Amino acid sequence: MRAGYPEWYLTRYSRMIHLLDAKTIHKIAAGEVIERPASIVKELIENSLDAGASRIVVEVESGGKKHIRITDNGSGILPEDMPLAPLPHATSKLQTLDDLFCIQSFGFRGEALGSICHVAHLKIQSKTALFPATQISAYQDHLSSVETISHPQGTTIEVSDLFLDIPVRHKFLKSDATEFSYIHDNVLHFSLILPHVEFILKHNGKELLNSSGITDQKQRVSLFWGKELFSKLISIDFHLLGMHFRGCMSDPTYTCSNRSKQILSVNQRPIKSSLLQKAIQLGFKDLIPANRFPLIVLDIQMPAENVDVNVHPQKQEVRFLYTNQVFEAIPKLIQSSFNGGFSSMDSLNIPFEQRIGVQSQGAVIHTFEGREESSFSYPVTKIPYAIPETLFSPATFQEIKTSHFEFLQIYDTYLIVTAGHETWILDQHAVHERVLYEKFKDQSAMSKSILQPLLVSEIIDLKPDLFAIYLEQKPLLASLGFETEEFGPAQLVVRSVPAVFTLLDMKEWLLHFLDQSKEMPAYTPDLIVQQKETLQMAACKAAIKAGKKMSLAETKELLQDFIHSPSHYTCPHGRPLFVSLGKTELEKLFLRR
Amino acid sequence: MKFSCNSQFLQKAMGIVDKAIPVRTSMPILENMLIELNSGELKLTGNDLEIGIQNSIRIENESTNGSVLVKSKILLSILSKLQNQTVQISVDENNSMSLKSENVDFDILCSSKEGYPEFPSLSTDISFDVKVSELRDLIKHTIFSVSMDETKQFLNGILIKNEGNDLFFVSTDGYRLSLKKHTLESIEKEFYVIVPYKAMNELNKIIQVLEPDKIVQVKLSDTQVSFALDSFLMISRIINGKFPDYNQVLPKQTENIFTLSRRICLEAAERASIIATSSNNVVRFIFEGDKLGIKANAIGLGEFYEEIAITRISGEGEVRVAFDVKLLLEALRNIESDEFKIKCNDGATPFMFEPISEGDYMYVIMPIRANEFQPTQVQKEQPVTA
Repeated sequence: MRAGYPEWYLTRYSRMIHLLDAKTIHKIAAGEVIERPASIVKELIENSLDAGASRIVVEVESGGKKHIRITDNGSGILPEDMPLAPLPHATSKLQTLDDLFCIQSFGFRGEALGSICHVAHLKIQSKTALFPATQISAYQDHLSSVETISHPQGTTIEVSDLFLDIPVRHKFLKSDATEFSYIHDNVLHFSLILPHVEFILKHNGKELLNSSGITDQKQRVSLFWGKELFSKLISIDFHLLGMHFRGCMSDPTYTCSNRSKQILSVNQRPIKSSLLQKAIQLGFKDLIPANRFPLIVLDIQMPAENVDVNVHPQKQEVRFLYTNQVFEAIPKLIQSSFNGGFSSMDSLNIPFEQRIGVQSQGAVIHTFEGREESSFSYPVTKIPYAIPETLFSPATFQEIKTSHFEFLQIYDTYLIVTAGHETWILDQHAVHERVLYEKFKDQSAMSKSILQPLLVSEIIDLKPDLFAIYLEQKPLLASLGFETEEFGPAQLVVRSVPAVFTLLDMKEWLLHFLDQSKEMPAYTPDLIVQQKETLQMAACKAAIKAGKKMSLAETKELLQDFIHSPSHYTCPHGRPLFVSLGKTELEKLFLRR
Repeated sequence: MKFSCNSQFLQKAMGIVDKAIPVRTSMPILENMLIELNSGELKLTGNDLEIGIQNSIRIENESTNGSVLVKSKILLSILSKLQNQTVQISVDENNSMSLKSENVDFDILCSSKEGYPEFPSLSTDISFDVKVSELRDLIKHTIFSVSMDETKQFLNGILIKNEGNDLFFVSTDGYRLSLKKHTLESIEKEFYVIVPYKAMNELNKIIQVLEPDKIVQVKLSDTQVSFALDSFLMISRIINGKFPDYNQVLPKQTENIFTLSRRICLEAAERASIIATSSNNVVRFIFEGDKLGIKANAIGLGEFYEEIAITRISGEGEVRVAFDVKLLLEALRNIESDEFKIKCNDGATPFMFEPISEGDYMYVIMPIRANEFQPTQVQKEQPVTA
């Protein structure tokens, strides 16, 4: 059959197809799940959580390359199930195929232990409530017999000598310190997402992370990332569109240079999602400086059937059934958390619930816990703004309005205001700039419906992929005020633009918009953000300058506007508006406490 | 090189050339002015590789020939601080310039003219002559409509073209268009070039001070355009690209024609703009009978309304339209006749503004589409609770 071909041809091109042996298959499969010691830690923590553990101790040696031991106080494994546990595709969590589409547990494929024992030595010790403790060890296809031992309720899993007989993998492991840092990240993420579970992490016998006794998420964040953060954290707790968003985030005065402090999870499963990251960035659009990133720990609870976690072997990525809703909700809830108001929420339409038949909960929003939102009213406006806790309380504001209050202007630039037990130092220019910016933004939004048709229509060339996106997004563009038509096979012609947009470069903007829509199908551009710079400039020019003397009346007016302004943290360029200095802090400074 | 002359006279001549000398450039040699002296003719050259300007003056008294490159801004600053006195300038073989007046003595380090880009020359047989006053008119009526959007290169200049003996200057930024016509005695060949804004703007400034009856010779090639008069020469590159077919946007027929006083309309529009600038520049015109109502309205600020008299030449019924007040004001300021014509069909199609008499200027503006004015009071949003 292969006669007639020269030998070099056969050796180069006619490799025969054959089945891999079982050992190789296992190694390849295991390699997808277990990439490095941190993957083992992650898989095993997930197992412990699935077993209902409330305390998980992770002990590693040499960055986890040599030894990993995870002890939990979960439900344990029955003695008769022990020999099954290390087998591939053996699980207690998934019964039928249908369960795969409605996954409630962290693990579901029966791959964790099965994979681990193909790349390392595995020892399992476990005790359930009613049966005696047993242990089993496994390496590749060799299983030991089940022995009875002594062990408290729960499971201990020991993994040693990772990748010992897979030199390729072993070679690619990084230094002990680096591998440990990955493990540390994993444990940290779990412990922030699950504040009710105690996590202890030890490296080479040294305890490096211990969250026991702290069940408050904000407390844990400040435990791990710095005490001074605590006062800057804002809780997130919203029921929206059948989803429950919970977590906390930093106010805009605290930002990081990268996204390492953004921890996202869906149904408490840590995930990586560029979509959610973008949505978060959008929520912080004009509050923080460019190229800075907020701290956020966010968990989205949604019906298990609306999310597909079986996308990535390490389960780091998920797919959302209703991507648009998730993408739309996040910026709004972030904004609302700052503003504490209803105002930005009511624009969120709720077709979702009717479509999937979720019992309508309405857009009930719980802002800061324990605060009554509608109990105070201002003479100026009827909108019940919730003032962030860190700022003037409504009561103090009333005090300011009606009675004499103390303020001091220093360097003709900063206002020092004292009310109650707090002292605030405000930057008068930055405060006024933010107030004006918000006002201009409102005005600009109101004139959205004004169109400027073009005298000379503009033709824009598109790549075929973007043209397809354009056809899809045409109605959205029209609703924003861009009247466009297709023109030839991959061209569009712009007939009119929003009047506020005439000075901006429409071609660049449209291409950017289509690119974004391709990446994120739910992308709704905010024209206000596009004009951000113009508005910022206008606000900056119109605002009172540093160096201006302020009278009592002016100061009162400014503070009043400030309290009513929907945004309180930073000026439109991202600089802070105020710092607060409590009586306690002053007392500490003077060693009275 | 050695010569002496009046400082103010030299400063003036250099000021013209300095317009072509870049302030910031990656080629430092371009920051220099080339000064060449040849048998009593002092030739000054500036060139930023986009436009080049040469200007010559006569040196009457004794002089020695030579050439030198000198930092233009430095020399101009020096001259501006020497009030109208005679300066003696000499350059030695080390390219050091000594500049002396009565009690002042500057020594400036210069460089030789090696490496300075050669001044382009235009080889073309297409040319026409216009008077300074006519050129001023042509530029003035069109330059304000040039687009500053750098992504639309082909709109960043004035289109200069001819149709028979008619010379046209046309400019547009996509929202409005200006067209100015001037009939010459004879034009032999067809031409169609887009001259960059910068060249037109500098030329416009330079010719403001010249005698109106002087003749400017305009030469056009495929890549360059030059404007020459007396001892002055400006060469500019032209913009590659196709100017939009503006004839398509000019309404062929207009149902309604009105005439009105330019001054009254301009003053009313200026008053309207006080309010309109706070609301996206929207100003509304309502033509009805022999009255034109002008309205502006800004949320949170207030309203403006004024009625002015118009004469209806043709058409019937009410015409309502909204404009960008800035674009409108620019048109009204550039129409020179006392009365002008507004030609239009309806509020959604282009409006034409023309002087009453001669049909040589046309300004076309695209109306804004806006809903009726909202009340000026700020609407308080009611919280929505579910």
